[in-house]
Amino acid sequence: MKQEGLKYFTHPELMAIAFTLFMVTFVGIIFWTFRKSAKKEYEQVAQAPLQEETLHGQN
Amino acid sequence: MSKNLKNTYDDDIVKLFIYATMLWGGAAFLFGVIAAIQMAFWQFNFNLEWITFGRLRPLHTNAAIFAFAGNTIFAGIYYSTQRLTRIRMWSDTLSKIHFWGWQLIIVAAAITLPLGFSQSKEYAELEWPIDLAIAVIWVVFGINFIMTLVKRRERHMYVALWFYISTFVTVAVLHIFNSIEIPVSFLKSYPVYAGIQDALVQWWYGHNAVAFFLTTPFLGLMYYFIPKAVNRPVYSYRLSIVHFWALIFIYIWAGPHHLLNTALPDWLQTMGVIFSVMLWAPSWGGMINGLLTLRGVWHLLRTEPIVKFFVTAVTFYGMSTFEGPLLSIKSVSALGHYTDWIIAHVHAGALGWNGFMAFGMIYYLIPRLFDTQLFSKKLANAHFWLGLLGIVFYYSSMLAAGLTQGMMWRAIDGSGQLVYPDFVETVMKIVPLYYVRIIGGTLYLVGFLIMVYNIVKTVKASKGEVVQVAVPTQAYDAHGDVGTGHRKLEGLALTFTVLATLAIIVGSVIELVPTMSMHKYVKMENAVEPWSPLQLAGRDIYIREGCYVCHSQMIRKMPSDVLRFGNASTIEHSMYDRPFQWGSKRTGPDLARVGKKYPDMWHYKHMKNPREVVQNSLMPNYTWLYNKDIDYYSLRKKFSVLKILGVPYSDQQVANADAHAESEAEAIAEGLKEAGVTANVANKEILALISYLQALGQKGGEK
Ligand code: HEC
Repeated sequence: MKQEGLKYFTHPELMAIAFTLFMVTFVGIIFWTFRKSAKKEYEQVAQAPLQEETLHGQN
Repeated sequence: MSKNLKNTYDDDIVKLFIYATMLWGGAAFLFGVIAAIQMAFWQFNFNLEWITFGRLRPLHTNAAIFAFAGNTIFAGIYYSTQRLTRIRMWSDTLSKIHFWGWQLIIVAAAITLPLGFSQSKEYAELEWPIDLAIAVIWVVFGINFIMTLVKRRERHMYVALWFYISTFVTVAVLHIFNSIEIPVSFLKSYPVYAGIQDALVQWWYGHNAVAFFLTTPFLGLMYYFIPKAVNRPVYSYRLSIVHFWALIFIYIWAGPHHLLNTALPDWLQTMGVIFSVMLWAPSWGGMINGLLTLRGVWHLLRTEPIVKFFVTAVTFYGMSTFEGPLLSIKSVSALGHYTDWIIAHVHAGALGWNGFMAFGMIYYLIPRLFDTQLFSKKLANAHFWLGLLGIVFYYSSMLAAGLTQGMMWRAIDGSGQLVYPDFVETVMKIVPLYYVRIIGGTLYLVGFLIMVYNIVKTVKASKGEVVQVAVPTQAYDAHGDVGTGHRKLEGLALTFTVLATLAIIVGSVIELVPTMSMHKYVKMENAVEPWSPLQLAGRDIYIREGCYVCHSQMIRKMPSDVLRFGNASTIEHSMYDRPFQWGSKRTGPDLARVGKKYPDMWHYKHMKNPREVVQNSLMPNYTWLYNKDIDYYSLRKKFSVLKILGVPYSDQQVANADAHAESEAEAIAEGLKEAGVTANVANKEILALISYLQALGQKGGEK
């Protein structure tokens, strides 16, 4: 029964790799995103859609 | 005004994409309503082969995804990218090629799908010449888009642009790898993948088409248009970054949740489940970020139809991304898979999330592009309420239908017998809910038509052309050092593209590559026989008619499936199947082991008019199969292509394929005659189809 269950579970190592990769990426992103020095920059970028100083004109 | 084109935005292209969205949206919704009526009233195809359900459904899904949603995202991307980069699109010519090329592809799809040219892989049905055209046009779009980023006059790349980049990259990868096929003739091909490989690649594609065609670009639109509509920045920019990376990294792994409890190796199923469940977190983070952007201005929700559409859309995004992971849990999938619950799920996403984002965006853009006011806010409100009511009718009826049928399929009594052994009984039970769905779909369509009227009126009343001038930002000016500054900008856009590509490649490689070495899973002592020539001809008819939209060929490893349809399907059963036919919906019973269940005569009657042998069936009549001749001529070519792909046909079998098929057909015709058929059926397609159906589950291998 146990053998039967594991027969198709052929790649536990891939699963380990997958989760390691995920954790490393995720933690990396969190650190990178929340680094202090970036705060000002983010505030600036967040305004990007709002500060379109477009001029309107008629043809 | 000076005609310095380079300093103005190209809004003509945005308008074109919006018009195309409205045109194809109407078509997609109309096809949907017709398909819904056919499910309740089988007569509604008027016995026309071009619009039978098996051909109409792919037309509907392709129109909804690639024509309606596709044109929506292009309109939004062209508008917002120019504003966020403060520069006109890199090349007007490429923009035009992209627009007209895409519309041409849609027209080609609208012609070939009703004619039955189909690869039968969901949302990838289009045949190889169209696949090639899609790849070319997609690259045209990509070059134009990436070059605009490289040349931008704004230092930062706002998060919406990241979502667009990941869309471009991933859709290219998905489309190319899922479409590797060998042509047999101008409009027929066989995929290089067979059986389980084909299933895995297809659902890696299918799931990520939802992720990277219907989710990431729309999230980009959300991050751009909601701040615009309420005039405040996104709630948390940091959250949007985490949302982005977590989403694209995790999404790519989730494909196997479409194949739970099937013959797919367990480690892949488990991986698919876990990553799907993890998707909850970034999806909800994104939803909350979108909604909280309205902090302090919630009153707009009462007065502004645009805000109503956007907020409801994001709410549906949240509900669908809650339901998706739920359905990915193995035991929930056991209940929901193959039922209308899945249909409910996709429509909450498509009508609620994609549709309402598109409508909000159109109501936002048209008055701005024409420097005027919306013709009628009242009508926009009416559209909103009709649409919402439509979705509620649609979703609740199909959820009820799915749960009802799922429960009936799995009901087993004390003595271990099925409580509802008669499949049609479980279909009859939910037909009243199909009536309710028709109402829902119609309401949504009517709301949409009101929008079209409103927009036409708005455009007609406008004074004419408006030209918007692009102004570089101060941040850019501050970096006025064109030499190094620009190098850095280019670098950023490219670095991003590379990183996003890496994030999606990792998951793809780890999931797909091991399965490519088939010998690991296929036990040659259990190998099945390859299809005979006539069976192959019948199989290609099965594919042409789209039987897979109503019939699965995958008996899952569950007691209720095994009791109803026979022993679970194995990997070997479909080892020569190009394309695989596991299916995703059971409107009719599973056919994996239907061979020899009935005599030939039963199928002969059933395919002509199912109600002659099964009272209350809602399967269409396939009368034209009794008039059309079998295409023997192409069989040698087909056999030789399959031989190249590794099917163990001998040279002689290839050379004699057509003659062999003819004698097989003769034998079946003879048998039918003895059973009392008086019509002349010699060489008719029905013989090939019967031959295929009778072979299902009868080709040897592990029983
Ligand atoms: C609109 C959905 C629909 C489509 C499309 C469809 N079927 Fe069916 N099919 C059904 C339903 C419902 C049943 C059950 C009632 C019946 O037996 O007619 C069924 C039953 C069957 C059965 C009998 C299975 C059994 O075990 O009793 C066969 C065989 C079959 N279909 C073959 C086909 C083929 C071949 C095609 C494509 C040419 C096709 N069907 C297309 C809905 C569909």
